[in-house]
Amino acid sequence: MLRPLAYLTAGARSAQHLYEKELAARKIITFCGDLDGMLGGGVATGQITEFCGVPAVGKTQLGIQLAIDVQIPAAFGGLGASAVYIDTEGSFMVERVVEIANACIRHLKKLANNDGSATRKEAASKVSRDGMLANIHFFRVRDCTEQASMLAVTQMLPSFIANHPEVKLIVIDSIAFHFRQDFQDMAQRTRVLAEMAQKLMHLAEEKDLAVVLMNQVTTKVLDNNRGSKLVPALGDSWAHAATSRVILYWQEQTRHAFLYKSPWLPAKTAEYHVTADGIRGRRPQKRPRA
Amino acid sequence: MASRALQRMNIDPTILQKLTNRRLFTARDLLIATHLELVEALDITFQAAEELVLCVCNQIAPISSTVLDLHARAKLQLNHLQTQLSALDQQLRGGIPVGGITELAGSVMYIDTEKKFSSRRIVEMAKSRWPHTFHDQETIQSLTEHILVVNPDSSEALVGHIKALEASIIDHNVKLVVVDSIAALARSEFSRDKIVDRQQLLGQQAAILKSLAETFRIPVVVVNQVTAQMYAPSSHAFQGKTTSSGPAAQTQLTAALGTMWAHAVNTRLVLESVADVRFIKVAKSPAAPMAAFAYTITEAGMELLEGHTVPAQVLGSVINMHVAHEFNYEPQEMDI
Repeated sequence: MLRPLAYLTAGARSAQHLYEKELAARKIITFCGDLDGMLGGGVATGQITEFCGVPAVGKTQLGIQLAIDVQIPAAFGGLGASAVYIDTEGSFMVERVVEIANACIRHLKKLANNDGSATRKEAASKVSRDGMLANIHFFRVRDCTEQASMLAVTQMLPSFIANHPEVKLIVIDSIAFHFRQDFQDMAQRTRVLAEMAQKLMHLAEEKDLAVVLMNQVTTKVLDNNRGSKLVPALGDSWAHAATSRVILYWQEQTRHAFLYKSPWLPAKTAEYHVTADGIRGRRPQKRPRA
Repeated sequence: MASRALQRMNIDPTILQKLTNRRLFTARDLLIATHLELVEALDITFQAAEELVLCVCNQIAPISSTVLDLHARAKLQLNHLQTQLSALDQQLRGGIPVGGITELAGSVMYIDTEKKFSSRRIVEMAKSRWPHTFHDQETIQSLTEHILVVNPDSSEALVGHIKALEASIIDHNVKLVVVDSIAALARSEFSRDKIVDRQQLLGQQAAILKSLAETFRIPVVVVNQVTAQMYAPSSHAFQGKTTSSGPAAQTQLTAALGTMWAHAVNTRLVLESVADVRFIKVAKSPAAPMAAFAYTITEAGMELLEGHTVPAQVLGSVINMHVAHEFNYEPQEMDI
């Protein structure tokens, strides 16, 4: 066995160490089996996952679902943690959080009843709607045309997390809104975004939490009358910021997700639905009675 | 609404003077710079630069609330503006939401384009809809005196008005802002090759309007036009050729102002007509799935119709959504 060369390269960690860390990374489920499968179990801590997609494809719904699911108690395989939700768009609806929280609690109670586990029953009884709402720390970033508040929040996040160590998920919905305008100098925008991504990545790794960024799409007109294509907003250099990238899109009349960047998972798609209860998978077709 | 001036913040006067000398006037100027740039520009230590940045951030970063607090606060406030179209209000969980932008998109038949605001029509609607409330000169006057109309004649003027809205909202206790339309000026002033500039301007307008909506907890309604779709519906590169690419085969109408604007609005209500029946469709809403309701225009304004089969909704991307415009242009007999 090779001895790690840590004493020669201060601060370096062996691939073995990182491998163990990767395997140990906890996952936040989405309640859509296919989506979780595509992500290798769920949204992983210790990295930045970006979800980009057209308006109304379900980005905010997914963000809210994750902010609830990060709270699922350890008895059910969850993290039993809290969330930070940073809203730049103004589409966050408290009523939806209430519905999704209630649905999650119903689901946990049902699971506990079905398998009769005393630990689970106890864990489920301790989860309450108000408790879940209280565990989501909400920041409304409300700049007009400057990004000062957005940048300030990112600067303050490390101390916020230090004061709230139970937070294991940060959702920024969306990262695009403030950065799509008012930057005369695109190079400057690239640098500012890169710096933000660095800070968030550092926080994700150091505190072992999941950072989820929602991004918009932009229409890129192709030359020679070839039509247009949808691409993630914020440009090509932004593509490097997130560890994993997922595109949410419509195929015929259903919503799908496509994992197209991941350090170790294969590219894959998954079908998902936005229901009154939150994000869910395909309903199993009822088999006709024989 | 103004950029956060460093002058107004709690900063060491010596450093403040250095910042001014280096033309760093706003919080944004400071936060955009890297720590190293600050060290060089202000001749301070790296640690001092870090502390300066944190000091400013502390003063401008929004403070968090828990969602439980938001929930409690929401119960004490009015969160929707009822449209009085009960099925629509129900679908939207109360009506047009405060704190965001609601867009009405439709073709020119249904929406008055700019400068067609009619006081007479408003009065007629009010008298017809609430005859017991608006029954005399005094009540009518109190209605019309509470509606303030501005007519910007350029995009620049529009932005100026939007920026000045904050003062107006406070002075006149404004509870609703309507921009009719957000598209007209932008589309007339920016040619095809200046789309980037146009989108920048729209983004700016959207950001200010949202900020106002949120700060004052009021609904902001913007009217949008429809446009013929230039190309077949956009999809992502990896989706391959699911539909024919290249110019659209037939003229399909879609909401104007592009993808970025579609992201910016919180709620999108589309007005369309199918086989001579008008529908108002919820195309984008954080509160509700897609739904459509038949309506008609009467003396009292918009009224929902019962008993019409709503056409099967084609689910799909909001930016590709077609706006149906099947309307018979034949003159119709009017009931006198």
